[in-house]
Amino acid sequence: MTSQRLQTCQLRQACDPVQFDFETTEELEDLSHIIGQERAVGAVRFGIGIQRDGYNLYALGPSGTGKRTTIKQFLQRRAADEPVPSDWCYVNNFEDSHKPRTLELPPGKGLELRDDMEQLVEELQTAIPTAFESEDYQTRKQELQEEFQEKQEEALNGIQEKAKERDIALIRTPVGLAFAPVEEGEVVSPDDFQKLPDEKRERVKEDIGQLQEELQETMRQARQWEREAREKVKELNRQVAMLAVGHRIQELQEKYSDLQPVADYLETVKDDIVENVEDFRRSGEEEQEAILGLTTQRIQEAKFRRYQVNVLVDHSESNGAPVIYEEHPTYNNLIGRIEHIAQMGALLTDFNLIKPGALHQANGGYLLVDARELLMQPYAWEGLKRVLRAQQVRIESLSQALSLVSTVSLEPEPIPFNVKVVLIGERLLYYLLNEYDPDFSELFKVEADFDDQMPRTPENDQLYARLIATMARREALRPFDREAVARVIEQSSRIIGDSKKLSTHLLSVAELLEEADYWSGEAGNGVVTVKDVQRAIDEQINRADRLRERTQEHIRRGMILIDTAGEKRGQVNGLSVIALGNYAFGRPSRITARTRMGKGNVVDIEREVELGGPIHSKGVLILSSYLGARYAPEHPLSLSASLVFEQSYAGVEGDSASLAELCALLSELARAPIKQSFAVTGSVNQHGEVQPIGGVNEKIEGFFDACMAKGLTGEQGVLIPGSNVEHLMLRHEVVQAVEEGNFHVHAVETVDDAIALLMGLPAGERDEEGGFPSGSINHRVEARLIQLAELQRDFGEGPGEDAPGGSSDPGEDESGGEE
Amino acid sequence: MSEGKEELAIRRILIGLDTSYHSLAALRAAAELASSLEAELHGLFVEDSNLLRAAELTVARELRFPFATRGRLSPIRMRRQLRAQAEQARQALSAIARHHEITWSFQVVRGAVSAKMLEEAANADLLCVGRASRPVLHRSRVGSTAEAAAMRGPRSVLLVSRDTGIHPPVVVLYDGSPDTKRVLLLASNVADHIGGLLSILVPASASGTSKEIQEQITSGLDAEGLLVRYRELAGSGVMSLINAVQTEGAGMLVLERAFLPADSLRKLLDEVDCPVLLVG
Repeated sequence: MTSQRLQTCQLRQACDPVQFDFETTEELEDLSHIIGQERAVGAVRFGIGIQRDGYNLYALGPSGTGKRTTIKQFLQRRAADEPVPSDWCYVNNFEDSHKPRTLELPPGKGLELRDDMEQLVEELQTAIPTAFESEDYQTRKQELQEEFQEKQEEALNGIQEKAKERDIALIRTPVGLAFAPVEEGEVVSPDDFQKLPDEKRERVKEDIGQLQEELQETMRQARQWEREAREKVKELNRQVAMLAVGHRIQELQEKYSDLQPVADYLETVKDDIVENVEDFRRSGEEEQEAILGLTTQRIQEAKFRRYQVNVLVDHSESNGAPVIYEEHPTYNNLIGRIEHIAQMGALLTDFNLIKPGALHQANGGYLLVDARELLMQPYAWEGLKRVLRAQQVRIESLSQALSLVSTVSLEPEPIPFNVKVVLIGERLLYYLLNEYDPDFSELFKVEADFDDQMPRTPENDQLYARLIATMARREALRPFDREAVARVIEQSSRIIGDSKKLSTHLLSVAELLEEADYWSGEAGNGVVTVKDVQRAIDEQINRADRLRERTQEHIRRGMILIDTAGEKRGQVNGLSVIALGNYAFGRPSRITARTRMGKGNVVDIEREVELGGPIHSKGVLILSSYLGARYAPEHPLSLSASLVFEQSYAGVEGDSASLAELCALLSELARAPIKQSFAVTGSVNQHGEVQPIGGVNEKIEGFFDACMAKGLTGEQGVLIPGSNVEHLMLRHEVVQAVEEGNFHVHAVETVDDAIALLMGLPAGERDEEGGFPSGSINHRVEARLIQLAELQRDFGEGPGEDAPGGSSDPGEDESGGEE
Repeated sequence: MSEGKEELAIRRILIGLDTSYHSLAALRAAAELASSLEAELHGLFVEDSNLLRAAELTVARELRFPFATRGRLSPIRMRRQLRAQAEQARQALSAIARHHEITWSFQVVRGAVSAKMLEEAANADLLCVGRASRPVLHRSRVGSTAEAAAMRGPRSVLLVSRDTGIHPPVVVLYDGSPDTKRVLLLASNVADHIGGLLSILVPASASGTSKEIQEQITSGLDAEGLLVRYRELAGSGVMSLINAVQTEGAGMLVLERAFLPADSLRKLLDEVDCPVLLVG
């Protein structure tokens, strides 16, 4: 017999405030590092340090463990010592405006170039019209026009003179020029012309034909002269424009002489301005006429947009490398987007409407993204992977990529990408991505696994106190006195459900601190005391325990049938945990077992009606195996048994009731009643060893509450697996009841330990001859199973045998041994 | 001077129309003036008899714009083209008259263009023509009709070349002679209606000092609400007049027709861009 009645000191690992040599947390220094996450921090340090493809990080762990804060702080410290990355700009591609070009500039130079270009355009709007209005230009242009007109005039005059000599006039018709014979300035009438001698008429005809040919040739040549004149004027315009633009561009080229791409860009700007100098010449006009709803000012703005510089990423005020946390990682927010503006019913865009994404902002530094958020956004994950694979950011609108719309769009030149990406998310997501996305393991080679617990040692208690001090200071809370700190540490162990561990779920701790501070304020305290912390814990429970209270009420009123006194055969109090949100509580359940002759199967009624989960069924099947191996190794197990969680209308999962189920079954077989003042929790293996279960604190407290409701007798208690003793962090109320002898907690190692306690009889060990001691529970169980096997055999031989069932033993009370 | 004012009142403006750029500019200027002076606008389109005769000649040949393609003239086609031009002119007149809410009429006549124009102008207070109609040579600044109107036109003639409209200041040449007094009166009347700015150019050959002339003007001119400024011409040649007009930024030049000899008048019309009102 190895069961142990636990002492009060085993029920709760108290934190002794005496170990702290401070009065309040105000005296403590801030923690400069995260505690309890050495593995994760090491992984982060490695992942950030290694400069190889694919060494991006995935920080995994439960939410609330401070992953984001830790990584962000870590990155910010590191990034501060790293060089500030380049500015990136988009500028017009004068050869193909649909493919804007990028310019990489030293930090801060992007805005400078943008301002320089704005100033250049502004200056040229004055300088170019001035150059073209100059007397020199006007004279030269006039000269060219005069030259052309003189040529034309000379040629036409010649023809006109020639015609005049032959009494023929050159006249303007509605659609051209015509020759006709004249007399005294008037065109000859047809009658008069007919009266002329044939020879004369013929000569006029020939003359007109000849003049017409000459005129035709002259008109043809005039068009050529006109073309030449236009070309000359154009060339003159180019020269004047070059004069106005050239030296200004040259000044800029000298300023940016160490940046060849900028100098090259300025050269293309110069060529374009010279080519489109008319835009600047007209810009001097200040009329604000509306043309189809557009003022000339807006038209001018639109004309000069192509000389603007779109500063996509500006690091003029940055110190160190960027650390960007993208809270809403949509495809557009990551990759960037190309916006459109509606103009006269059409959607238009240009390079100025290219907007950066988080990947641009983080380029040369670090990007933090929440994995769940990322995966929930359509195409965002695919977009990020594409960038990581290609090592360049190519802005492509989703609608364009999916061919959803056919508006005019852009193909901006991609930007080289050099960012360490850190995904933050749950473990499940990490494992799923690893399993189902072949790219994931190539692109995120470093896992930083954040734990939700840390060992509870005296050293860690001290560090935890500093953590509390740091959090209190950061959140501007009142200082905590050392008793309060100790209580927080105890609660931290309770959160994790292990007296040897502390929770690293900083969110829960922070909530407790904030609420304790609130109650401290309500109580008018200057510092947070242990009472305030306890009030915060009680209030947290109170806010969440409606269902627990209702369950206890039902037990008290007899609506949920739970006995906490007396004895009953085949019936035991099992314990289960109900988890609702962040709150979990224990609930006792009546488990009953019935047996009869059968084929050796134990029927799990929960499973039959699909209320039992696979782990629960596994536990029940283990019972069959245990029974057969322990009690009927040489006989067929001719038993049919059924097990049920009474009044359970929802699913049952887990094997933590398998010990209780086995005890109920053995009680039924042994015809030995079970003390109903006990509740049992624990799972068993095929050898009858009791194994640990989860939620031990909640389970014990659940039965304690039920006993309290029905009245504590001093006999009541809970049987728990011995390996769960270290997990005990029970409520003060329970510990006190145990201390006063009103309630008990027993640790058991084997099924036999549990049987002995529950039935008040020795379980019995096999002696040298292989039999159990007479009168022991095990002996009675074995005898019953052998009896059933014999009955089965007799039943199989033919009629006239006793009917099957458990009523053949007249010495036993069929209805159980309730006393 | 008020008697002269009545005598020079403009109530009927005759506008010579074809479809040329200058003609349409003249139409717009005439309409603005008619609107300001509350005058009636009468459009005249002359079907050129020379063209019609030429079209009937079998020997006459045509080279058509813009590619100098050859073609024979046809009387039917020529009449159709002239009718089409007349209709275009009528529609232009109708549209602009509707815009300015002025009374208008339109007439098509056949004959020699200049002669018909001058003949019809006898019934109008002002003849308005484009400075060049449809010249054979682009350089021609003053067409034959405009020249005829300028030299031999009845009463007042408004010559318009560019589509500048009529705007202040109205610039007038005044030398103190009785003829230029009438001109000044007309100019002040126009200026009064289009914005109230009158710029008076006083030639060096004027009778009396500049001060005396200013006093004459002030006493004789009903200048209430009119902003008047004076400029003395530096020289006596036409070039000093041209320079002064350009310097003043004239919106309209008004001068007595006989003030300048024919050559100088041609030179003036060649160089000055604003509408020129010649008062006979």
